[in-house]
Amino acid sequence: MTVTVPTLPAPTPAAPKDTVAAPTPGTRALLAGGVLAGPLFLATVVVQQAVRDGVDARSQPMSLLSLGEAGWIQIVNFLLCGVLAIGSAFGIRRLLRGRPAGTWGPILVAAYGAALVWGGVFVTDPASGFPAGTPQGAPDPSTWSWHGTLHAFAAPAMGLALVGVCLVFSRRFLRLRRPG
Amino acid sequence: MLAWAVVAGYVLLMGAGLGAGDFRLVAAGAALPMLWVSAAIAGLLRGRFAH
Repeated sequence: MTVTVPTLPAPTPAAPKDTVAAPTPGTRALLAGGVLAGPLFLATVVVQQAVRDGVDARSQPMSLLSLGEAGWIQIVNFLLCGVLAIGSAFGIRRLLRGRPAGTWGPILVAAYGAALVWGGVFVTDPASGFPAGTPQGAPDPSTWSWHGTLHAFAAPAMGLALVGVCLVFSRRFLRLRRPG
Repeated sequence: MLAWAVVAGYVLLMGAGLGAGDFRLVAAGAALPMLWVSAAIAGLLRGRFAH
Protein backbone atom coordinates (compact mmCIF):
# COMPACT_ATOMS: atom_id res chain seq x y z
CA MET A 1 0.00 0.00 0.00
CA THR A 2 1.27 3.40 -0.89
CA VAL A 3 0.78 6.21 1.55
CA THR A 4 0.85 9.69 0.14
CA VAL A 5 2.18 12.16 2.61
CA PRO A 6 0.86 15.63 1.95
CA THR A 7 3.66 18.04 1.54
CA LEU A 8 3.56 21.63 2.62
CA PRO A 9 4.94 24.31 0.36
CA ALA A 10 8.47 25.22 1.21
CA PRO A 11 8.56 28.20 3.53
CA THR A 12 9.63 31.42 1.92
CA PRO A 13 13.11 32.22 3.12
CA ALA A 14 13.22 35.27 5.33
CA ALA A 15 14.61 38.47 3.90
CA PRO A 16 18.30 38.85 4.68
CA LYS A 17 19.01 40.70 7.88
CA ASP A 18 20.78 44.01 7.45
CA THR A 19 20.64 45.55 10.86
CA VAL A 20 22.45 48.84 11.18
CA ALA A 21 23.09 50.84 14.29
CA ALA A 22 20.81 53.79 14.98
CA PRO A 23 22.34 56.89 13.38
CA THR A 24 24.17 59.24 15.69
CA PRO A 25 22.93 62.86 15.89
CA GLY A 26 25.72 63.92 13.53
CA THR A 27 24.80 61.27 10.98
CA ARG A 28 21.14 62.21 11.31
CA ALA A 29 21.99 65.85 10.56
CA LEU A 30 23.97 64.84 7.46
CA LEU A 31 21.12 62.63 6.24
CA ALA A 32 18.56 65.38 6.93
CA GLY A 33 20.58 67.66 4.66
CA GLY A 34 20.28 65.08 1.90
CA VAL A 35 16.52 64.87 2.41
CA LEU A 36 16.30 68.65 2.13
CA ALA A 37 18.59 69.11 -0.89
CA GLY A 38 16.27 67.96 -3.70
CA PRO A 39 13.03 69.66 -2.60
CA LEU A 40 14.85 72.87 -1.61
CA PHE A 41 16.62 73.06 -4.98
CA LEU A 42 13.42 72.46 -6.95
CA ALA A 43 11.28 74.80 -4.85
CA THR A 44 13.84 77.61 -5.22
CA VAL A 45 13.85 77.12 -9.00
CA VAL A 46 10.04 77.08 -9.25
CA VAL A 47 9.66 80.23 -7.12
CA GLN A 48 12.28 82.10 -9.18
CA GLN A 49 10.61 81.04 -12.42
CA ALA A 50 7.34 82.40 -11.07
CA VAL A 51 8.56 85.75 -9.80
CA ARG A 52 11.61 86.84 -11.81
CA ASP A 53 11.07 89.11 -14.79
CA GLY A 54 11.86 87.75 -18.24
CA VAL A 55 11.95 84.10 -17.19
CA ASP A 56 10.15 81.59 -19.41
CA ALA A 57 10.34 78.10 -17.89
CA ARG A 58 9.24 76.57 -21.19
CA SER A 59 12.05 77.84 -23.39
CA GLN A 60 14.82 78.50 -20.86
CA PRO A 61 16.82 75.92 -18.92
CA MET A 62 16.87 76.48 -15.17
CA SER A 63 20.64 77.18 -15.24
CA LEU A 64 19.92 80.57 -16.82
CA LEU A 65 18.54 81.67 -13.45
CA SER A 66 22.20 82.05 -12.37
CA LEU A 67 22.42 85.12 -14.62
CA GLY A 68 21.18 88.66 -14.15
CA GLU A 69 20.81 90.80 -11.06
CA ALA A 70 19.27 88.04 -8.92
CA GLY A 71 21.46 85.31 -10.38
CA TRP A 72 23.24 84.92 -7.05
CA ILE A 73 20.11 83.21 -5.70
CA GLN A 74 20.42 80.31 -8.13
CA ILE A 75 24.20 80.14 -7.66
CA VAL A 76 23.69 79.85 -3.88
CA ASN A 77 20.94 77.29 -4.57
CA PHE A 78 23.35 75.16 -6.62
CA LEU A 79 26.13 75.44 -4.04
CA LEU A 80 24.02 74.96 -0.90
CA CYS A 81 22.04 71.98 -2.20
CA GLY A 82 25.22 70.44 -3.60
CA VAL A 83 26.98 70.72 -0.25
CA LEU A 84 23.92 69.25 1.52
CA ALA A 85 23.92 66.28 -0.88
CA ILE A 86 27.68 65.73 -0.44
CA GLY A 87 27.24 65.85 3.33
CA SER A 88 24.47 63.26 3.16
CA ALA A 89 26.83 60.99 1.21
CA PHE A 90 29.06 60.93 4.29
CA GLY A 91 26.00 60.12 6.43
CA ILE A 92 24.98 57.28 4.11
CA ARG A 93 28.55 55.97 4.18
CA ARG A 94 28.56 55.97 7.97
CA LEU A 95 25.21 54.18 8.13
CA LEU A 96 25.62 51.61 5.36
CA ARG A 97 29.35 50.87 5.42
CA GLY A 98 29.91 47.20 4.52
CA ARG A 99 26.23 46.70 3.62
CA PRO A 100 24.29 46.71 0.34
CA ALA A 101 24.60 50.11 -1.36
CA GLY A 102 27.20 51.08 1.24
CA THR A 103 29.91 51.77 -1.32
CA TRP A 104 28.31 52.98 -4.53
CA GLY A 105 25.35 54.67 -2.82
CA PRO A 106 27.47 57.34 -1.09
CA ILE A 107 29.79 57.72 -4.08
CA LEU A 108 26.90 58.43 -6.43
CA VAL A 109 25.11 60.74 -3.97
CA ALA A 110 28.39 62.65 -3.61
CA ALA A 111 28.64 62.83 -7.41
CA TYR A 112 25.09 64.24 -7.53
CA GLY A 113 26.10 66.91 -5.01
CA ALA A 114 29.37 67.62 -6.79
CA ALA A 115 27.48 68.13 -10.07
CA LEU A 116 25.26 70.71 -8.35
CA VAL A 117 28.30 72.52 -6.92
CA TRP A 118 29.95 72.37 -10.37
CA GLY A 119 26.83 73.96 -11.88
CA GLY A 120 27.05 76.79 -9.36
CA VAL A 121 30.78 77.42 -9.68
CA PHE A 122 30.83 77.42 -13.49
CA VAL A 123 28.01 79.71 -14.53
CA THR A 124 26.23 79.14 -17.83
CA ASP A 125 26.23 81.64 -20.73
CA PRO A 126 23.28 83.89 -21.62
CA ALA A 127 20.85 82.22 -24.03
CA SER A 128 17.21 81.97 -25.07
CA GLY A 129 16.50 85.65 -24.49
CA PHE A 130 17.73 85.66 -20.87
CA PRO A 131 18.86 87.99 -19.41
CA ALA A 132 16.98 90.69 -21.30
CA GLY A 133 18.70 91.69 -24.53
CA THR A 134 20.14 88.24 -25.21
CA PRO A 135 19.18 86.81 -28.63
CA GLN A 136 16.62 84.02 -28.68
CA GLY A 137 17.75 80.44 -29.14
CA ALA A 138 20.82 78.54 -28.04
CA PRO A 139 24.17 80.21 -28.81
CA ASP A 140 26.63 78.55 -31.16
CA PRO A 141 28.88 76.25 -29.06
CA SER A 142 31.92 77.87 -30.66
CA THR A 143 30.98 81.11 -28.87
CA TRP A 144 30.61 79.55 -25.40
CA SER A 145 32.79 80.92 -22.62
CA TRP A 146 35.10 78.51 -20.74
CA HIS A 147 32.79 78.52 -17.72
CA GLY A 148 29.72 78.02 -19.90
CA THR A 149 31.43 75.03 -21.51
CA LEU A 150 32.27 73.54 -18.12
CA HIS A 151 28.73 74.22 -16.89
CA ALA A 152 27.35 72.09 -19.72
CA PHE A 153 28.76 68.98 -18.02
CA ALA A 154 26.76 69.57 -14.81
CA ALA A 155 23.28 68.46 -15.92
CA PRO A 156 24.31 65.19 -17.62
CA ALA A 157 26.63 64.34 -14.71
CA MET A 158 23.85 65.00 -12.20
CA GLY A 159 21.38 62.93 -14.24
CA LEU A 160 23.77 59.98 -14.50
CA ALA A 161 24.56 60.13 -10.79
CA LEU A 162 20.87 60.29 -9.81
CA VAL A 163 19.97 57.37 -12.08
CA GLY A 164 22.88 55.47 -10.56
CA VAL A 165 21.62 56.18 -7.03
CA CYS A 166 18.14 54.91 -8.00
CA LEU A 167 19.58 51.69 -9.41
CA VAL A 168 21.98 51.05 -6.52
CA PHE A 169 19.30 51.64 -3.89
CA SER A 170 16.69 49.63 -5.80
CA ARG A 171 19.15 46.70 -5.68
CA ARG A 172 19.42 47.19 -1.94
CA PHE A 173 15.64 47.24 -1.50
CA LEU A 174 15.33 44.16 -3.70
CA ARG A 175 17.84 42.31 -1.52
CA LEU A 176 16.03 43.33 1.64
CA ARG A 177 12.63 42.64 0.01
CA ARG A 178 11.44 46.12 0.72
CA PRO A 179 9.40 48.38 -1.53
CA GLY A 180 11.05 51.40 -3.08
CA MET B 1 9.98 48.80 -8.20
CA LEU B 2 9.37 52.51 -7.86
CA ALA B 3 13.03 53.30 -8.53
CA TRP B 4 12.81 51.74 -11.99
CA ALA B 5 9.63 53.71 -12.73
CA VAL B 6 11.45 56.87 -11.65
CA VAL B 7 14.35 56.10 -13.99
CA ALA B 8 11.95 55.36 -16.85
CA GLY B 9 10.07 58.61 -16.14
CA TYR B 10 13.34 60.53 -16.07
CA VAL B 11 14.41 59.15 -19.44
CA LEU B 12 11.00 59.72 -21.04
CA LEU B 13 10.56 63.27 -19.73
CA MET B 14 14.14 64.25 -20.59
CA GLY B 15 13.77 62.83 -24.08
CA ALA B 16 10.39 64.46 -24.64
CA GLY B 17 11.53 67.79 -23.20
CA LEU B 18 14.76 68.01 -25.15
CA GLY B 19 13.01 66.78 -28.30
CA ALA B 20 10.25 69.36 -28.04
CA GLY B 21 12.48 72.13 -26.67
CA ASP B 22 10.26 72.35 -23.58
CA PHE B 23 12.44 72.80 -20.52
CA ARG B 24 9.46 72.38 -18.17
CA LEU B 25 9.49 68.69 -19.13
CA VAL B 26 13.27 68.56 -18.70
CA ALA B 27 12.93 70.06 -15.21
CA ALA B 28 10.13 67.63 -14.35
CA GLY B 29 12.34 64.77 -15.52
CA ALA B 30 15.21 65.92 -13.32
CA ALA B 31 12.83 66.41 -10.39
CA LEU B 32 11.76 62.75 -10.34
CA PRO B 33 15.07 61.17 -9.26
CA MET B 34 15.97 64.17 -7.08
CA LEU B 35 12.79 63.69 -5.06
CA TRP B 36 13.14 59.90 -5.04
CA VAL B 37 16.69 60.15 -3.69
CA SER B 38 15.47 62.57 -1.00
CA ALA B 39 12.75 60.08 -0.07
CA ALA B 40 15.23 57.20 0.02
CA ILE B 41 17.54 59.16 2.32
CA ALA B 42 14.52 60.02 4.47
CA GLY B 43 13.83 56.30 4.66
CA LEU B 44 17.36 55.68 5.90
CA LEU B 45 16.93 58.45 8.44
CA ARG B 46 13.79 56.83 9.80
CA GLY B 47 15.36 53.38 9.69
CA ARG B 48 12.78 52.15 7.21
CA PHE B 49 15.29 50.79 4.71
CA ALA B 50 18.16 50.39 7.09
CA HIS B 51 17.30 47.08 8.76
